[in-house]
Amino acid sequence: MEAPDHPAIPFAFCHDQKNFRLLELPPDLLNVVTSADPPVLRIKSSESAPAHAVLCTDNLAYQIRQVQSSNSIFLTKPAKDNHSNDAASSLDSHLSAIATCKSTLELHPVSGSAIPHLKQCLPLYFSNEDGSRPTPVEGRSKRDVFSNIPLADQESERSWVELMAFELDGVSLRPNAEELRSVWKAIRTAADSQGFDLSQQFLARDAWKEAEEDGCPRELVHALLRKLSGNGSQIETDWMQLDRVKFVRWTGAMVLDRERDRIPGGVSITAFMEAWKDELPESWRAHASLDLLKGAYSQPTPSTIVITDDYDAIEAPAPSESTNNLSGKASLRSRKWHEKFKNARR
Amino acid sequence: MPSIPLYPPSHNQLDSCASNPSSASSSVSVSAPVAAPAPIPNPLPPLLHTPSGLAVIEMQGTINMPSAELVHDLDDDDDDDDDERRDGEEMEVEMDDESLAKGGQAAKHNKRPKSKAAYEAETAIGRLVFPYYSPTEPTDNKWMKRVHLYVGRHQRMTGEVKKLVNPLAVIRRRQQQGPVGSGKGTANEVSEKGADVDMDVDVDADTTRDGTAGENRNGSTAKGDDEEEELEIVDIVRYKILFSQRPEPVSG
Repeated sequence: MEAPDHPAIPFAFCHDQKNFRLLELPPDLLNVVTSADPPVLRIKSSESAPAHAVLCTDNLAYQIRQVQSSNSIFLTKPAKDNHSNDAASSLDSHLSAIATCKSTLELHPVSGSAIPHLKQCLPLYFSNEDGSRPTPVEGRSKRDVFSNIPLADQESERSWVELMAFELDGVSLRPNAEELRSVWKAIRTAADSQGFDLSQQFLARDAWKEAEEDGCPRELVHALLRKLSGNGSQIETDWMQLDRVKFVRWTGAMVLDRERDRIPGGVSITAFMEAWKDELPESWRAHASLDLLKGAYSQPTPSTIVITDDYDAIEAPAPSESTNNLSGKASLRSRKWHEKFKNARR
Repeated sequence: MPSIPLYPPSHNQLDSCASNPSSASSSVSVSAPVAAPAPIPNPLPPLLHTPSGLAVIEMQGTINMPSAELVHDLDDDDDDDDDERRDGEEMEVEMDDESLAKGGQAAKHNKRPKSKAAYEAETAIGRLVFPYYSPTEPTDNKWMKRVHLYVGRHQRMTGEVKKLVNPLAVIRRRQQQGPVGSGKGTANEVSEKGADVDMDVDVDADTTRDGTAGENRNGSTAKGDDEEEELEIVDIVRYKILFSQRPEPVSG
């Protein structure tokens, strides 16, 4: 048997089995969990089927997959030897298997945009013909909405800004295109009447005063300015500077969307470009270019242009792409799994 | 579905849940500040140590244990002469070899603890040996290449210590943090205290066995249980002992 100078460690099975699960930690997540001040992770799942469980940090998201094993995986813990008359062992502790796991949980990185999720669950904010703006009585806070999006919160926040979603009295909303147009109109009017230039720095409160007089909530103006400025914080008090590319692109899409309502079949490119430039501050007129709208429009004829339906989701990576990557990786992995056990059997 | 929080490891509340037969019999005072019980020495080589003492042993195959009910049945009509009956209890180790089971039984017989509590709690499987491990040269990791698990006197499994490519987080349902009303996610000291109080209630519930203590406890913590499930990472395991081969016979 074993050499005497190598002490045997008694190994026992504890009948009071505990419930533990084993979760594989990819390097990125391991760094987070073992950092000096680790955050609380969250397991989320989408409300609509298929509801995969997704483990999220602020900026990472992993789909959880349960992987069955034909092996027995014991979780062991040192336990005190209760018997005093055991002369065979020089140690006074042994190993006790306190849990048996038939599966482990694997994590697969998930990427994608939260825009489809937000579009699905955020009610539209709009004006009635008489100018009144109904607020849904029942609604969910931003926090509640985010906790149901199976993605990292940072990703959800990005999409939130992208869609110009906002919270009004604790209810999360997103504006429809018409509402955005009227906000934009109010901001332009404010710029004209107060003489500030949207291509330069200006005070946000100068911009929303006008919109508020039209009955438009300040939160919505902020949501629009936040998206167009590219930096989210302190819009209320600080001088702000619009991001030229974002701004020019957004106005282009807005104008094209407006034109579609007028002429659904497509508007002439020349007319559209003129209308677009008219929305821009003088110094930015030259920056209007169809390249900025790549992917957001189609051309029914060479001289006409029409906006695509989901143009507001264009900036984000297409979700279908990420799903393909995921399944590709998974099949590679499962193949390896079989090879591993084939080798072990030999 | 609301999101479920998964708390990172705190390394302050190790023993409150993990099985520890000896602590169940020792009483813990609620009011006095509880001194942490002396840690149980970890018999494994230090490389395999984790703050909580948890380790992972994986083997190809299944070990068939007598069901807990069987053990309890035996225990219920416990008297001085039931040693015979216990010896008759079968432990099957399903490794394509029946003699393994008999060997295991023999080993158990030799080492079987006399104390009733210990017997209830565990069934011996075998003994782990690290034949190349030397405590004097702990930095030399060649010992990881071989681990034996002796089951009885005639069977041996050979395995190795493997570094996990992706370390494993050991997760469990988070325990209630003391009385309702104490805030969630407070300082570690508070949660440690809470765990101790809970443990004490557990001990009571176990010893009275009439269900009342257990009910009270459920009542006092029901709010938290119903509201939302909480998980925590108890520890992170970076190595595992893997037995991927069939057992082989050895001569005594």
